[in-house]
Amino acid sequence: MKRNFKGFLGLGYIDLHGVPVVKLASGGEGMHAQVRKSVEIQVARAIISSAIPLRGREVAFLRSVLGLSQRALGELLGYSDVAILKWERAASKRLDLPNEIAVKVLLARRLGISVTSGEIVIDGAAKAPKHLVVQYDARGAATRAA
Amino acid sequence: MDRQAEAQTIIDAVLADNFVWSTHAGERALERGISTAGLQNLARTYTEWRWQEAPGTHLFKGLLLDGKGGGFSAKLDGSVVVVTVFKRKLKKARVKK
Repeated sequence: MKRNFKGFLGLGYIDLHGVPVVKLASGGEGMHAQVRKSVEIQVARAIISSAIPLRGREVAFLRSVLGLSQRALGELLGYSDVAILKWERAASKRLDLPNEIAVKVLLARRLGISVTSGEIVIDGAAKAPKHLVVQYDARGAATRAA
Repeated sequence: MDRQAEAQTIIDAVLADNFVWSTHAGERALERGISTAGLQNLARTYTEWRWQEAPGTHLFKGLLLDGKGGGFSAKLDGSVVVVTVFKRKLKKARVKK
């Protein structure tokens, strides 16, 4: 049985399609932890490879999916944990371009993908998409439909 | 199995990726909540546990990856561990006047 979901961990524009769910003995439905983990990675890969400008909420999402504390991410980037906290608090504010590139390259490597210049949005007026459709792929690779 | 042993079973299952996330809230079930890594961090470092009689769930409270407080509740559904509620902030219990 498969379901579609709207919104994912604070990112309201994510549309998840075709996610397998299981029936629970006591009624209702649930998603197995390994499926959910795979969904998290697929959404994270889709964000990095979709040329979406990184704002505070995307940083918070990517950091939490990768299991990094604010301090750990700060140390990897050469910043303090307070700097990361400030980025994340400004949920709708885009990161400065050098920081955005650094975060994308660092986190892409952790997600097992590479970023090219086409995936870094130089346009300062670029906005977050209204919808990013992520089709669940049982093999774990992220695919984008829109 | 007593409640304490159940709680340990839940923590072991969460840390081993052998559990199910409840999607009882339907289409918007995943919008709020925490990541799997955040949940497992809570399960590793929780500081408070209690059995909740009315919903029939175990409640675990602790710290999230960003150092803020959070928690989750879970129950045993047959032999399957189901994480039912996962929040950054837990509501304070209402006290009837």
